[in-house]
Amino acid sequence: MTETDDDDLLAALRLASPVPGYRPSPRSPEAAALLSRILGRTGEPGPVRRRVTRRRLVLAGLPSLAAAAAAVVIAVAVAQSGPAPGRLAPAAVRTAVLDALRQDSGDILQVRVEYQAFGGAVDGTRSTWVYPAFPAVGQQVRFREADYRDGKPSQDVESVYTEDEALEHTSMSTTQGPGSAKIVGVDYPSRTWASFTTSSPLVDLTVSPALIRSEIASGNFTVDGIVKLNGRDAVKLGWTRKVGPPRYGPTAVTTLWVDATTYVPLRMTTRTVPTVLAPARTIDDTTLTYQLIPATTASLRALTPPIPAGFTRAGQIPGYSRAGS
Amino acid sequence: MDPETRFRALFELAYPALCRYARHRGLTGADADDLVAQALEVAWRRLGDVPADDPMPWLYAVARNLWREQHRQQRRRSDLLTRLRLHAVPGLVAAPFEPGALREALASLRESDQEILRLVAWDGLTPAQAAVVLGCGPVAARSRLHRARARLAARLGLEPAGQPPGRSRPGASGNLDPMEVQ
Repeated sequence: MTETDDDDLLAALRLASPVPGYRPSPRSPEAAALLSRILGRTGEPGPVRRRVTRRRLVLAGLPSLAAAAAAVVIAVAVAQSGPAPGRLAPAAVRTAVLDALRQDSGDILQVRVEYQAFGGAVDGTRSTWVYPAFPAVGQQVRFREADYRDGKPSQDVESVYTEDEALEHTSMSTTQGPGSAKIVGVDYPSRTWASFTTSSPLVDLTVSPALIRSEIASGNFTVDGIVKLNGRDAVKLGWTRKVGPPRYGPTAVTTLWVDATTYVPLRMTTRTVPTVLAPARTIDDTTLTYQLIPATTASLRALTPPIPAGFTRAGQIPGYSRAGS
Repeated sequence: MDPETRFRALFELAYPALCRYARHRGLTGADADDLVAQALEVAWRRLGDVPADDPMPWLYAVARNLWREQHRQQRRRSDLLTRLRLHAVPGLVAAPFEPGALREALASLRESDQEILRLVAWDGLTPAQAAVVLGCGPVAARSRLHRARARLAARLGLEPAGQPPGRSRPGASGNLDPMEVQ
């Protein structure tokens, strides 16, 4: 499409796709089954029989044993047009999820986080955006986090840093992680904003999408079937990890739902429970809801938080130290 | 390159695109799966006819024929739905770039206008590639796109049909402002 055709209305229509971010993997179990069915029907390209339904086979009759054998082969192929057997085998799910993450890495991943402590009401929400959606080590990352307290905006910060190997793990020490980040942040309580470089960027491993890749790549998860999630078919996965001290530290129980067709993440919940003292008590619950947004000029521009009118520029915002200070 | 290797490479490219093509035309579940499978079966049968340099327009043309065959069988029901949507259009003017409103306005256009807009905006084809799918020349495709775009704008109350498309409206923001999200 040329530039003169690409006016604002067509750009808006492009964003109004009924299936934004829908990129089924050509290596998913369903796609692999289809490819093998097409290639298996005949060894070389050329005219093949049209698809025959079982009803037509019955009406056509079976004049010979050879025809009967061929009919059985075709009928089986037709009967297998649904999900391939073994679709939910952990190895197949692992491949499909990792492939989906790689395919969708060019998008923006929006994550909405809800946090509850001790089984109470939701007492914190935040929205985050990561671009690229599933960054690889060494890639430049734009990460925006809009934090809310008591339903009111608290801080809205964009951090630009280089993806660090430490972010791929479920825990890290205070000396690990990105060494610096460029910050554009708005602090609502103090009505200030700042643009600066920090040598101690705050990172939030809870929302790091790299963790999903890390956990799925490890293969240490269970596949708990296909369920409906907000009307969509989703594959339910789960894993359990100790967090904190190995013996007495609490345990995090995670459930991840991925789209049953595209295998992109839809939602993840993590419940942290004490391991020893009171295993029935909940320490906290975190729910992450994922959405992929196409990376366009407009959506990438929106990764930088808007500065509200009347806010004063400051050297830094609370919670972040300026590099060299 | 042997036929199977070539088809595997084509499959890698075409499978996601055809799945999206089917969803963009409202097909779901087994209907969408069937359309994708049938289009790829045709590509395998006629692999020698598939252009090596730019195979997707050819494949979209196959998918379009298959889809129209499916669509024809449901035409009576769809005609009724289109009439119902036309009555709903006046309410769209208040928020013309809201995705739901855009989709409703698109659905209210005649089928040929919808198809050129879907091919360019949703399937990502250039007007010249869309021309291959629609079986017309590049100039005709560009002209059809221009007219369809104007009629979409008119449905949204932006410009009278026939007026050249302008650049005066702000673009869609992608809904990234957290104050809007919350």
